[in-house]
Amino acid sequence: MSKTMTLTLQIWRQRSADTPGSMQTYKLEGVNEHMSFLEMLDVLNAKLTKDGQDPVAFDHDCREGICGSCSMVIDGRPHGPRKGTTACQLHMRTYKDGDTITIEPWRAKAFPVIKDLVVDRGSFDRIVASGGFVSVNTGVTVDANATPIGKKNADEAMDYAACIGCGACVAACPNASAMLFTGAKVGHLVKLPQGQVERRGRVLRMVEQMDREGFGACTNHRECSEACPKEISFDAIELLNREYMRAQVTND
Amino acid sequence: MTDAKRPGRLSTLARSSIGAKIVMATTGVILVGFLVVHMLGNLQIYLGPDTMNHYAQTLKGTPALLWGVRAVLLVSLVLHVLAAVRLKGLNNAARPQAYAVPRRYRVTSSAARFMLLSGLVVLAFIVYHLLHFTVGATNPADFNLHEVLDVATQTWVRNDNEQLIAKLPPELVRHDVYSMFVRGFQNPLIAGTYIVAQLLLAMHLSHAVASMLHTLGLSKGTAERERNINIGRAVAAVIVLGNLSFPIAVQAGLVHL
Repeated sequence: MSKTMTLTLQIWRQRSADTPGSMQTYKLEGVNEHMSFLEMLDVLNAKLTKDGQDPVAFDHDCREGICGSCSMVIDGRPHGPRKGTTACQLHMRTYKDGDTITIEPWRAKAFPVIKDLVVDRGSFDRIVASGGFVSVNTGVTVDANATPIGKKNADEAMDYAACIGCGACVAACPNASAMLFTGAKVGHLVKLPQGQVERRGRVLRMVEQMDREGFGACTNHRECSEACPKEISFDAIELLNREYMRAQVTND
Repeated sequence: MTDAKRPGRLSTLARSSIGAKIVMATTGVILVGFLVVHMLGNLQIYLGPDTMNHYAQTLKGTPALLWGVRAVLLVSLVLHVLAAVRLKGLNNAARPQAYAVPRRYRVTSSAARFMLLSGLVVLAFIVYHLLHFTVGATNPADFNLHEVLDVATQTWVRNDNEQLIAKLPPELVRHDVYSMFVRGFQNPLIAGTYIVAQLLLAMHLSHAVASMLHTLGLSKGTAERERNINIGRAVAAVIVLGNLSFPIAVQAGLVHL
């Protein structure tokens, strides 16, 4: 027999980008402990719809922790209290009957609110478009093992590539900096031979785009890597700093 | 890949947020290096007036070094403050709407979050400290103290006769830094001011040293980063404990005229 609980939810409601929002309080009964956090919001939305109210808008897609859609600050922490967990994989068994839970969208100039908990993360796409790619010759497919890659580099590239671009790093940062994201994107390419051709230009352009989007600067609080649901290491930021300095003093 | 779309070098460095961080970190390295040397030099107060005053005399006797170092420090400090103001502006602008519910931080420290505050207090202290001990503007009576070389015995003797000192050749007169130092810290208000400023400096450095190592990208992996954080705290502790010992030693009467 699974337990059910009654929760008090305080949720940021904002009709559109241009209208001011506020925190609204909802009481939700019959929350099953095996529900995910997003399923709990589904139950709330069903109830709101039935009552003739506007349901809470929130981003979601895969609901298995890999798409990077869910983006909500739960009780002052991006994706909630559990480390290495997206909001969709957070389960209600984390909470107790009678708990009050606050839910807000990511807060950053570069992530403007579209509605309620949904923010526009196009700034991340533009950072990737500015340099997060490799140029590959067309023609005959290269043999699978033609380019050997050391275990250490392969592991590190894979760890950086685990970034799902959710934006929790920005949401967690006291400065709303996107250094962890940009560092992970630079890092997963620079660790591989395919990423060497555009190495210098990539980091310069991506950092320039990051600044242009209005993200803050890193002051080494290390909150980003703690909040990252994919546990991207703070190494990404140190790597980005090194790559940036290298790009300033080399030509390749 | 052509170079056509690559941004230029210095222009990107000057404009970018990482460029400002690099300025912050490299000037920080210079300033922390100076703090270590400054503290070690002042430890000579425990070796008595002759050692301390000879040290001061040596520094003033090599004006090229003295003014060279002062110029580098002044430029570093100005750039450090300008970079801090620029970064703070960027960071404040990056989150125009604050969270409605206070965030729960996981690893950051109060020292890291209040760097601007501790930095401003330290800056105000630096201005006061220079007026006090370098320019002699705040306590001129303690500042204008000299020793005169007794040629017969080759010893330095305190002399308050300003007319005599004005007439003597410079190689026979030296600034009595030891007495200035002791008389300065015998005033409880001044000693207290220095102690409070050093506590704020400790707060600033406990984040600053590790932060500049991170910004310069010097740690690869969590273990190295934890080590650098501990190095940062140790450097901060050594500098500030050394500096704190001076007003405390004078107030306790361990160092006296």
